[in-house]
Amino acid sequence: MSAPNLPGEEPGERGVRIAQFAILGVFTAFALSVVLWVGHLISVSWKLDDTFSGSLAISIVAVPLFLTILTLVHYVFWGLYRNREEAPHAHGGAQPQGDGDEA
Amino acid sequence: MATSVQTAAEAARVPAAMPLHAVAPGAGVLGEDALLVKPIQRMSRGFHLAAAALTAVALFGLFMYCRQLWFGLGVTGLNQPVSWGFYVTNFVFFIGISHAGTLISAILRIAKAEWRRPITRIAEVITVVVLGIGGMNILIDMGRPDRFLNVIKFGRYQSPLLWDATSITTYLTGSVIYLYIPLIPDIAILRDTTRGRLRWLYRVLSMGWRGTHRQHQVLERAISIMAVLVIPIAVSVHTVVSFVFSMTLQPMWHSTIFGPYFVVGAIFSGVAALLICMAIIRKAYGLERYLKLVHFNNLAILLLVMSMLWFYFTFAEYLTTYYGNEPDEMRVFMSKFDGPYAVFFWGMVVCNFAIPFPILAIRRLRTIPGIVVASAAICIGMWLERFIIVVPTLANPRMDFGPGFYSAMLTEAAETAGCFSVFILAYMVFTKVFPIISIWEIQEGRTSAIAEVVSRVRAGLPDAPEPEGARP
Repeated sequence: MSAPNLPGEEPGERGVRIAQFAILGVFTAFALSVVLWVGHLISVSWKLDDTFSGSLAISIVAVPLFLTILTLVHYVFWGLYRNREEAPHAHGGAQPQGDGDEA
Repeated sequence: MATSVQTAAEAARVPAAMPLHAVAPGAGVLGEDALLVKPIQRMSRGFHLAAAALTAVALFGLFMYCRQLWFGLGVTGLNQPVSWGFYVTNFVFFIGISHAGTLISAILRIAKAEWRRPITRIAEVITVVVLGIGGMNILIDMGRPDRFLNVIKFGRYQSPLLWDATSITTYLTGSVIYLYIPLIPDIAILRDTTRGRLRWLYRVLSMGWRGTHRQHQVLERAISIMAVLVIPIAVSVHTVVSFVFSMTLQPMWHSTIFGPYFVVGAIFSGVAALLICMAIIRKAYGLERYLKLVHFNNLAILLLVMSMLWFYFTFAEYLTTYYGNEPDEMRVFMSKFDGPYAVFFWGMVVCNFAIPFPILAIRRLRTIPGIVVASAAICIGMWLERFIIVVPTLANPRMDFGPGFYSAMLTEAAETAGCFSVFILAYMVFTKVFPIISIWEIQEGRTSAIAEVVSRVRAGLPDAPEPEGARP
């Protein structure tokens, strides 16, 4: 899963990256399991004819929210992962003003 | 500025006995903000003593919980018809406090309130910690926590309790992400400026952050999306908590204004808790230069507004009940006004309005100690309010159970104390692992926010041209 070290990266970077992918995997599994759980409750309510419409209404809110959060986490993870090769600015601090082409 | 400007060389003088971390070369990147990582580098004697005391209280609470688990809920004061007591009060209270963080932080971010920078993380951590503790109280109240599996297997969305479980899970997940994403650049700073046992953790959690332009773009976009997303989630959470009560036909619960009433109370108690945390952090870590009177003053004014709003909602709620004069409702009403719960009711009014209102309204009294006194009173008052909502109604139900009474036993008291201890302890530990004030946001504030604010102000002036791309 892990990419080769970048120039100047420290030893042990491979282990670090495996851990990062593991965190992403655990979060993905968690979010998907919540979605599956909500789906399960809907199916139970359908089978038992027990306020199916109510279950559906709540899932219409909850499921997209979890999927949005999951998408966002992947966006951040891959966004940081793919763009770490650019020349860095100062740490977290302010970016240089301008259009960003200086990077 | 002599005391505040700490260079890497100064930071490197941390005694060898202390750390989880030593300062690495490259600490100079922190510049004058090296003070913000000092709490991570130093473990003072006071910290150890406080941690030991809190752990002892938490362990006692855990022991009492194990005892409750062994002997059953009979060791508590819970009974029929009062089957909800301290635990559900704690649940509602802690979920309310959670509004401090994410909601306040998100609103300030979206409103581009520049003074938010030192306080957002302090607030966000509160949210994450108390949400966990609030949820835990439901498990404690269940008596048989293994029955929670039934909720997973056979939960029915007909029940507002399950709405709660769903919304709190969503809020907790969103809040953790909303805390973590803006933390990444600061974790990278720690990765590059410290050595020690936790460095590997920083390397992992910094997610390869190197501060590139593209990474900044990704991060800022994600923070903006989360800020927008988290506000409706937060509002919905406390609305849904109120639905647990208002969806029943119980006297003084079945109210249409319970949703907004709970949300107002939640923001009220959340801001108060935030102010207390800010004052303690400021004092304990010597962060007077970052957490200034202006931050306390701005939040105190918000607290004043919330105090008036809370009074308005309370007045509306109680007046409607009184004027309606419905017998079942009046039994609950009178038990609060001059019955067995009067001391809690009037205590709530004093703590939520009579004490904080003058302190916060009179400018001369609105000092940091004054604000802390008002905030402490509000936290106590809001806990009493939750208690006053939960217990008197159950003690005087609409069904013909006869009047009940609830008096908490040592079990509930110990577990409540344990919950508060766990909250403080978890918060303290966080401050020892991550910067409690966002370093990168402070640095960004210095370098680019002032120019941005100036251009924003200018853009609104009559003589200024419309911004590029703006359509009338």
